[in-house]
Amino acid sequence: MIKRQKTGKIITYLFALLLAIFVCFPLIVMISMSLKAPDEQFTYPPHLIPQHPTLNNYFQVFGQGSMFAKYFSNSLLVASVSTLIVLGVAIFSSYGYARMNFPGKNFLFILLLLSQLFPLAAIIVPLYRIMGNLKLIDTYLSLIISYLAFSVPVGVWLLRSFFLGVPQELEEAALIDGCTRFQAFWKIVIPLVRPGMGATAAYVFFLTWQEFMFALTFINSESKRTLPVGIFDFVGQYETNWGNLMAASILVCIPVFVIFFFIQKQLVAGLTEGAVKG
Amino acid sequence: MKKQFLLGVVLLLVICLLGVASAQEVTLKVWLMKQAEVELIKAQEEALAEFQKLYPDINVEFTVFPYNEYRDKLLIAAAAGNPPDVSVIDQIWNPEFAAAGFVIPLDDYVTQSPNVKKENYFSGAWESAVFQEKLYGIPFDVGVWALNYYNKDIFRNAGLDPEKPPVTWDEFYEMGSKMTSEQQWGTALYVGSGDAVQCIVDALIFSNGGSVLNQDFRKCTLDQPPAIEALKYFKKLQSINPSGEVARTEEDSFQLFTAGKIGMFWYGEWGQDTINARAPEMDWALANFPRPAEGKSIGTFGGWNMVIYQQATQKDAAWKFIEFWTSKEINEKVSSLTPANIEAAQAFLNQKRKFPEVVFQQLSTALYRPIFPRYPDLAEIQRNATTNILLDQKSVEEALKDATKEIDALLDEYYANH
Repeated sequence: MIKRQKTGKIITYLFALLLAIFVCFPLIVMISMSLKAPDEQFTYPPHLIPQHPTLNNYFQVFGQGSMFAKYFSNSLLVASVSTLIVLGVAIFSSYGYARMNFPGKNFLFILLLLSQLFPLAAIIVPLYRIMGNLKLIDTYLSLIISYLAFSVPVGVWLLRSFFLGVPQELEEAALIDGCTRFQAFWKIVIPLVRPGMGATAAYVFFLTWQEFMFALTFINSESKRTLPVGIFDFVGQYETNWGNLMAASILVCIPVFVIFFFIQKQLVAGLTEGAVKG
Repeated sequence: MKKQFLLGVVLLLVICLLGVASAQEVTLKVWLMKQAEVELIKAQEEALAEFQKLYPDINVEFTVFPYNEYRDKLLIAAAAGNPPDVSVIDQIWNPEFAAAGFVIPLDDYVTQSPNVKKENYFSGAWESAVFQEKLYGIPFDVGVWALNYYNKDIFRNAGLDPEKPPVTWDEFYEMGSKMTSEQQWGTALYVGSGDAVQCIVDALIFSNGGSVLNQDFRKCTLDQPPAIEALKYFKKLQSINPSGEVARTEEDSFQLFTAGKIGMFWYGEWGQDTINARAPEMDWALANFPRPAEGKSIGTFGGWNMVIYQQATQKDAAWKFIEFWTSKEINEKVSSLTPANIEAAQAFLNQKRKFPEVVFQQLSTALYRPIFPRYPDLAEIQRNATTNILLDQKSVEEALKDATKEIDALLDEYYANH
């Protein structure tokens, strides 16, 4: 019996290890390539560990003629502002959907989720025209507004399940003790859904950090491009600067890794929270 | 009092002059491809400063895009009525942009221009901009598919003279066979998903005296003997190349070449820098694209033309910019591929490329790809035929007959509606 458990465990670990290798391999190749000079990138047989490791690719990514640093700060700006606004809107809206009763509540909630059904490709043309009429083409605002359009519903939906997870009795107790409705919300409920807010913020940040299509369509000036669009600078018509491209890709991943590292527990909880509640 | 009055008059005059000057000043929006080389970016800036000195009232605003995003951006902007005044476009987009009415014919400008003359540019590049007898673009830069890159060490190891690269198809095949073993091959074909394979196949057909479309581009000629022979030869090369050519891209084949796995490799002249970066130790050389015993070595043109948009507000300023940018002195400095201006090309090749005469000769005789607004669809039919042939799904004759039928249907459908 014990033996069987042990073999079961070994098999589990073996599969976990295989899966980890499978998932990490591209990343490892990326790192390896980013540390190689061009004459080492495509040797036969290929070797994973660079024989003459160099940081040149990283220097070149930030070097003269490269806009990478600017793209990076643009992405950071657009993603952070979008995340903050989504959070601000979603806290109140999702609380309303979780706690309050008003006519048409279910209908409106479904409407909100319905907006998620449209493929981006279908709404990009009307959005482009709207942005054009508003003279917003080639501005950060055009990106932030369109990101809000598809990330606010997700934020509301995610946070709502966290609010549902807070026992209503807590708020009632606070009300009895003399809190106003808003105080109960702000002082009692919000601190309890903080993990949910973290998860929502991270989710929205990831979504906007990697968004490509709007960023490609709405932005023209080089100085306003975001990373997913800008990284194509390293891909030429005929040839690709693989070393620089891989170094840039690693750098793009870093903020995502950092955020994920801090909030992975909440994120996993956030995505399954409410899965079994109505 | 008098002084003050005078001062006032002078001030007024200055303001008036400034007002006039700013009223005349125009802003020219120019879209180009993103360049990675620092030197080139600097050269562009210097050239721009020179232009501004010549035309102080034209304010040029550059916007650059990486290749992968460039076409989409142009199409979106043109369709939304917000295109730049001038841009470069790929030769194969020129008929499409012309047919859609995005860009204007330049014939009148050319007649009046002292500098822009047909004979100043590679003729194949110039012809690529002609659509229904009107000229819609001025060549900016060019490249030719293909030249024959070869690894001299592999030649020596196979007992071949590295100073005598193959000239004819048969020589190429025989020398390739001598290099082919378990671990090494004569060459590496590629199909992939891009247009490169089409350029190679077209070059074989051109060299064999054939064509893809007839003279007025209304009928497909792929079922004629020159094309059939060319593809039979292409198929024959399968035996001196590592398997997997259908999935392989030109980039993959290039990697095989720089890794010393293949002796010969068909690619454009711009590949030289990459070889030097990836395989600095390699002893390589360059020869003309092989020709059939009775034929002439003819490559396929690639490259970029400069166009003026229908909705451009500054068409005359745009033309001045094109005149300047494609002139010998400037063209030579600001292009990363070989300049389309012949004199500029000679200077450029001598300075930046090895084997400049070989490259120049290949460029001088190269031909453009079929002129058709829906060229990508046509190229896909061709690529499918090539794939069928390489995978033994159809015989060469059958595949080309089917492709001809499909392309004719495509042409008929297009010209019935336009």
